[in-house]
Amino acid sequence: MIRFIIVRLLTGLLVVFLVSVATFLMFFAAPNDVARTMAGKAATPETIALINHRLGLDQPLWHQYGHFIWRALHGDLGYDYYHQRSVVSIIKKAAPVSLSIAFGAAILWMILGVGSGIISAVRPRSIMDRTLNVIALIFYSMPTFVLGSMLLFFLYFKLTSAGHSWFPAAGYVPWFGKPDPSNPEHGFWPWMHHLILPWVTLALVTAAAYTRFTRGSMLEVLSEDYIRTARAKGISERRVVFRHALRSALTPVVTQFGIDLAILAGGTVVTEQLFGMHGLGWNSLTAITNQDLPVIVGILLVVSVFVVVANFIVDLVYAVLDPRVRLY
Amino acid sequence: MSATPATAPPTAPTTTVVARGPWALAWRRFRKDKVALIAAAVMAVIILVAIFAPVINSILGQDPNYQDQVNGLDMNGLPLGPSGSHWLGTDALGRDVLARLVYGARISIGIGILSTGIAVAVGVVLGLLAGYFRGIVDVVIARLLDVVLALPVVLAAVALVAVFGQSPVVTVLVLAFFSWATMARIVRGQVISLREREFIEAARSLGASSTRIMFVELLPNLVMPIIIYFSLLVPVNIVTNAVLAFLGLGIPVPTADWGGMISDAEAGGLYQQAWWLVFFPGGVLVLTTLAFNLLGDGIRDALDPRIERLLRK
Repeated sequence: MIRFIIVRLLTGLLVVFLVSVATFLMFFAAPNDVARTMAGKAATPETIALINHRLGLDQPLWHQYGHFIWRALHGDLGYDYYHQRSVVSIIKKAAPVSLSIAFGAAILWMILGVGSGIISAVRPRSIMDRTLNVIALIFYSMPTFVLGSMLLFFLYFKLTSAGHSWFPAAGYVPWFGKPDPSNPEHGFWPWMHHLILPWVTLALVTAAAYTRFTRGSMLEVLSEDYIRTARAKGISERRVVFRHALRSALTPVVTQFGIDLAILAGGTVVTEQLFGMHGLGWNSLTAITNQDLPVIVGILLVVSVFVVVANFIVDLVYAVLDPRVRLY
Repeated sequence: MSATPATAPPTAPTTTVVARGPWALAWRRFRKDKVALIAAAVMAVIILVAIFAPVINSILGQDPNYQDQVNGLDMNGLPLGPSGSHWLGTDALGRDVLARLVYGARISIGIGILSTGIAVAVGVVLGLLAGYFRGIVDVVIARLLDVVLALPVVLAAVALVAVFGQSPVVTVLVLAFFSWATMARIVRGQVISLREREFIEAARSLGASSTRIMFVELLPNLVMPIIIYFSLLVPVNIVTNAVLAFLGLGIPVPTADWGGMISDAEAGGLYQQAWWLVFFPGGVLVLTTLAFNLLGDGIRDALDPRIERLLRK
């Protein structure tokens, strides 16, 4: 057990390190015209050289990387090029937005996906199973931005212009903290109200995969010998499904869930863009278009840490759910 | 008593027995799957449209990039709805939506299939190397896999496109870069168990080279997972390409692309006035991915009837 944890932590660190090298190389080694953009069109070569020097872009690459990773280890991810805000403060401001979207959607899609997957698997080939299968496949095939635009169009635009403003326009409203002077709304209900459409969008698209996944896994488990034994003992079907089968059927689902949640927590670019929520995804997209290198590399690094940590937790949960898994 | 009565010679079976290989059996299963057949038909139509896009548009008499600022827009300069002259309406620049949809099929399907092809080829080769050689090769490839899988796909793809510039080649390579990993992982797992089997030992004792064992002995045993994964990955890449276009980092304008068309309509909330600008490209996109997914399911069920067996138990 101890050995397993140590090995996994070291591998995780290695992956984070490799990701940091990869993202760093991807952005800092590629030719960029940050200095030219900042200096404006009429800049002299001297000005550009000066800016490059101030940003440290004229140093050798390994030197820049060493500097970056040394500061990162001390909790400093540098400053953005255009407004001199610290990357850590940008991430701190954006993370609650992304986390709100990801966790709310996750609860919804687990209920929808796993629930419909179980219903499908319990009576395979039934009308219910086929209907759920078709619905799942349609949402599975639907890109997030298509579903999101449709929901915005019908539930926000059409309803509001018909005089029913049930759903708010785009924008994030914080739950905790000081209200923004430009946006006085805050608190639990406004927070939830503004997140409903993003949650539903993300949950429907993701739940579809979970329906299919749960169904397959559940079917496999229900054909195992120990399920036949349980039935032969006269245990009620409900107990067989929920107590005996579900536990092992959910192990692969949990694995997938951990990874999906980590990736979404790191920013849902499309959803954030569509619903005007300034989370990690929106910030990194903006940073990419502005070539704001420290922000991109910082966010990607944080996201990869999320994924690695999630993988680690998933492995532990796996062992708890499935006693056959031995940690070594 | 000691003499055993001569048994009657076995009579020849009256029905002829046809030898059915695994492929024939898979084809039989596939033929019975009506949903998969319909999906295959829909897909065939879309692929034909993609191939014959110029022909179709010349028959329709529309040019996907012609900006008809005079007759293609209404008095307020807004796009026209579906009508006799423009069946699916026009976009913000007065271009015919149908003509752009037809051309967009080329980009969307072409990029989806091409990127998947590259991803599967790379994944199979790396998976074979990792599973066959094990040791240091395996360790290096496995860590590479971990890194690719730890990167957030959309963000990293957007970033790569931003760095290397927008072009169809970049898009294909970026999509391939993020989708080879799972294929490699599947192949590696299969090879690890296959390489211990007798036929590999036999090949090795006959003096077959590693290359021969990997590509002549092992590869044919991997055809089924490869086909299944290929058919399931194409729609994923079509959607990712559309997402890139939606985020403004797809194929450069003015080339028609389904994701790009929706992105254009989204800009400034134009689609709230002109629903057809999102409805038709979105519909075609969903229809295409749905057809690919249904077909992929059908192929998987036909090639790997494990689920069927589970149901019959």
